[in-house]
Amino acid sequence: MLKRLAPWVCIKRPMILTASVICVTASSVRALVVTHGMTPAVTPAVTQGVTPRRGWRASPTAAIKIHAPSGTLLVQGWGRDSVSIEGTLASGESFFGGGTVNGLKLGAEGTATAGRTSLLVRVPAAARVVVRSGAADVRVIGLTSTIDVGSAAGDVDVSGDADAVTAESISGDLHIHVNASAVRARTTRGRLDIAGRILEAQLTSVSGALVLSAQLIGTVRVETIDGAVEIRGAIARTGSIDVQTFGGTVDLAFPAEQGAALDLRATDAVIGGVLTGRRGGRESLDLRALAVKSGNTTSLSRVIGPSGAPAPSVTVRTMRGRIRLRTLPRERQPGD
Amino acid sequence: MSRHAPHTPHDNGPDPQLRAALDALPEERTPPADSWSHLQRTIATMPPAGAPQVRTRRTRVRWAAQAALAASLVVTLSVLANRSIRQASPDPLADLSDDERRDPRVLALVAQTRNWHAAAHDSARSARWPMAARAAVDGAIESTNRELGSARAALARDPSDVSAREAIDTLRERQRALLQHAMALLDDI
Repeated sequence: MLKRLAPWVCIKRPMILTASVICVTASSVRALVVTHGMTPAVTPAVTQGVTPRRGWRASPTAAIKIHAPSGTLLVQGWGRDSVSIEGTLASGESFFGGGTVNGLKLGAEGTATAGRTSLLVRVPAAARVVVRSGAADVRVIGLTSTIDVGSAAGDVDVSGDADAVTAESISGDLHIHVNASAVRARTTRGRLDIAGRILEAQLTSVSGALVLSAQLIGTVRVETIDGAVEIRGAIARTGSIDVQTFGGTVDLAFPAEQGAALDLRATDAVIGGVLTGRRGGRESLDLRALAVKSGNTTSLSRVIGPSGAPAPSVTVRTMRGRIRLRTLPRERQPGD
Repeated sequence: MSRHAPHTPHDNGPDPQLRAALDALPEERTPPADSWSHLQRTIATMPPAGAPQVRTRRTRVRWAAQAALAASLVVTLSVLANRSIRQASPDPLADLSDDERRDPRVLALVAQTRNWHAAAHDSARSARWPMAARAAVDGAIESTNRELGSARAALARDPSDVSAREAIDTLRERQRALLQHAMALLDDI
């Protein structure tokens, strides 16, 4: 009889059962809602605020992986043998970090529900850095070793002098202004903007426009599906340009003195443009007039430039995308 | 002198029914000696013996109904989601010739495409994948399929068109690589 006076005895198990059913149901609904792009009704109660500045010892060439789900992340190289992080966290995100002097992993995690995360991470300048971002815009400056930035939906901006840069964003834009021996850049829909002195580059997009404006172009391979391609600059003696696109247009612009072995082919599209000579007695070349049409394919194979000058290869293949070459105006030539 | 407050009625101790119940309790659970009247008043206000069980049964029925309602909501949403998946992801084998269906490169792309759709709609796996990134990948699939259609049309017009045949192979390989790469990146964020 007394047990009836203690209601928890009777309802404790059903309460737990009901709560667990509701929790499972709510998380499932929330997952489905998130999957379909709606705002979840339930939000974690994490207070937004400024993170305390934290730091770790790190070797000069430590491997460091940084995560940033949303907001902005600035990764900056500095002259100290340590890593520090500071900034502001959005509600719903929390901070984590740890590792050894040779390997660290840090950043923010969780799902932002309000506010905006803004993090500044300082790392040794020669550290090997990997960044993974959900929707966060990432900027990397002052690093000299290898940089690997991958973002699902954020913009990526990398600048400085680095050994090698790998940058990728599925839907964001990539801005890479570096002096580097190797650059790998990939985007799906975002714009790809590359500048600097690059010995070797492999640039890939699906629909995103791709602009390479380099002081000196080494070996460059470009692949797109229907993104427009624009390449401006001087090709190194040992360099080459290889462009393959399907529906995208291709615009190439070289200095007047540039020598090159052109191998251009466009299916269901035209080849055009005019190359104007400045020195060496080269006359203007109307490429449209020089192109040969066979069936639905237009092609042009020709060596341009002053006689005796190096002629790095320029190969372009398109399906439906027109090809146009022109001479860079003197005042707009990269590196001037 | 009474130990009770002036307004408290005299305590005659528990009646036999209550005493029997109290005797059944462990000694340490025995209430303080001055609480008999309080317990008796509480018992007097209680409904007949069968009512609490009825109320408990009703409560359990209500909880079961709530659980069933929540479960049916999940099932309904899942069905709607799966229906939208099927509508958004047509059978990649539908338009292929028999030769293409036997081509391992084609089968690799079909498998990768199915993996993408399955992963993108697996709420546990893809809950943190940004919508913009998913839309970009879906848009890339459409762009590639559009170019594939163009190349296939060119090949249909001229079966000896080598460039069209190469284009089809290249596009399929790029699409497979795109999906594989995108899934790897999205799983890593």
